[in-house]
Amino acid sequence: MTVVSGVADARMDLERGSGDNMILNMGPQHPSTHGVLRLVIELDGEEVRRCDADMGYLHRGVEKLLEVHDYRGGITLTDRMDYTSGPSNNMAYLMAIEKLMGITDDIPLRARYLRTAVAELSRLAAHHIWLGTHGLDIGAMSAFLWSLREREKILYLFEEACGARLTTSFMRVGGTGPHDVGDQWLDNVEAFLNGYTLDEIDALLTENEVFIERTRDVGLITQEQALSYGLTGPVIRGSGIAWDLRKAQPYAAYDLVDFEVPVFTEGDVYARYLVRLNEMYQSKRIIGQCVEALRDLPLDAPSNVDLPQVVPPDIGRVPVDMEAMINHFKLVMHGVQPPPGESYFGIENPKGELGFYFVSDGTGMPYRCHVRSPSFVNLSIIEEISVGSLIADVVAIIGSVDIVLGEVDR
Amino acid sequence: MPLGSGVMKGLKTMLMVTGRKPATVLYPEQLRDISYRFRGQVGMRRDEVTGGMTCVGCGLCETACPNDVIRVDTSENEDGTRFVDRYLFDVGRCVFCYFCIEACPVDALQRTHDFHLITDDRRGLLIDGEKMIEIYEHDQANREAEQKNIGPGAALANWFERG
Ligand code: SF4
Ligand code: SF4
Repeated sequence: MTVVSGVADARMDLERGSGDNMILNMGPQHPSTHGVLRLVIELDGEEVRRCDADMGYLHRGVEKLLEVHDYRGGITLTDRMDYTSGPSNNMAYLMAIEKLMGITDDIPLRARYLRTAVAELSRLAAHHIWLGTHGLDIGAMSAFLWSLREREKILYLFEEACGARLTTSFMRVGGTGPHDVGDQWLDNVEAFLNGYTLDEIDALLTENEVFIERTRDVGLITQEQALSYGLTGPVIRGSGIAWDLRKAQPYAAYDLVDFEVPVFTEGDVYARYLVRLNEMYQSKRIIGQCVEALRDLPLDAPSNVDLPQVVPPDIGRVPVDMEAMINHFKLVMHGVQPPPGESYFGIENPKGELGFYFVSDGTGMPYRCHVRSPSFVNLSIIEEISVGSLIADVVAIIGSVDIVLGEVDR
Repeated sequence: MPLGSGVMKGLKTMLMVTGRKPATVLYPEQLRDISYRFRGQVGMRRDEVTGGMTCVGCGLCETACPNDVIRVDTSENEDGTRFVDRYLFDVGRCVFCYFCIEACPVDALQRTHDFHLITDDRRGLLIDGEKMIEIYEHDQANREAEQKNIGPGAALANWFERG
């Protein structure tokens, strides 16, 4: 007797008698499903008749955990959702809290620029992971190795700024916390940008006939589909809809920098590839502008808001200044305490719109927290667009939607 | 464009980059340079006066830690002052976020660059204050020897030189 475990199995079992079709289990340990995604695919020869995505293998209950941690402790959990772009997640989480507290407009300029620069660096890093693995799935080995080499440099920059490569816990409520950067770091970012080129990978893939054959007209998403599924990020921009939260609802310093939002209308895997590739060039532009802006700011410009109920005092003052000590103890013991209310804030993560929804009851922990993760929403389209394609194309489709299972399952 | 020109373009790129220096570092024979702010194992500073832990037992690190890594037990002297009985640190649960270090009001907890945390026994992951002092002092001694030229920023510069 077989034990029917997931919903996908049950649905497949119901229809199993319908013909000679083969049921194929792809994942959860399959390298091309980019993590622990399991696809149950019904095959007629090589053609996909049905595809059911089964997920939850990486479920750690992040939303629940966020409710039992104080607002600062939650930062460490957000690193571990989309682990390819930790700082970006930190930023979404913190900006939602800042909105809840009503201090969004008080964030100093230095912090806003630094956040933008770091978020774009993490977008580059995340897109390099995507570019590498997507190419690898289709058979391009060199692109993968070169991608990871470039990403490694970005992780070095993160390590320089905050001390960790992936699980950065970069910022704090009200600014950048202790992780302000000096001229040395800005020099390093500039050195990185000067040496950074995508042209090699571009030359390997973009015009490669094999790559084009594998990606053009594969996994078509129409505009209507993209809208009705609520897709965001490069996936929707590959279907001809210019929706980018960085432009639509500018946050941090995105209204102060100059960049374009690449949009392609074809809606196939190749269009999504081009969107992301062009986005990386734009990210490079944004980082360059942020570095220049940071240089122009005076060195003693604050990087945290000047609110004692949000940002702890300078640690040097704590043992000698009674007021500072009380403030410090209060902040560590009780954390920041937003007023009762609710807030939702979304930012443009590398994968799409990452939003945090908080309900606060006035204490140091959120009463309820919900995460709108782009990977989870974007994943739902895979079931529809895989139907009718070849089994080998499913790999290309998963790669082009670019999901991270840590974020899907949370 | 003639068919195959895209593939040829790729091959040309490949030819151009052959002979480039590899970017890999052959760990464990070679160690890559670690940047100044690297968050490794949490260490403890030795108090110059008492020779023991600098920790005053306020318990802030215990509260600040999101993962219940730290346990501080304190008792009371006869004259009413408090002292630290036991300071326990469970490395196996630590995520190296350094919230504890940010919280410590007397700078007892310290950053180290030690990331070789391997043990062959789970109990080896549960360390006390004395061991943390040892880790910190060992790291300080090492840092001077190995990383003479690694100020803030130098690690990255070295990396870029490598290719
Ligand atoms: S580094 Fe973070 S997880 Fe580790 S003990 Fe300190 S607060 Fe806890
Ligand atoms: S915060 Fe510092 S002084 Fe307080 S208990 Fe922890 S280590 Fe000791």
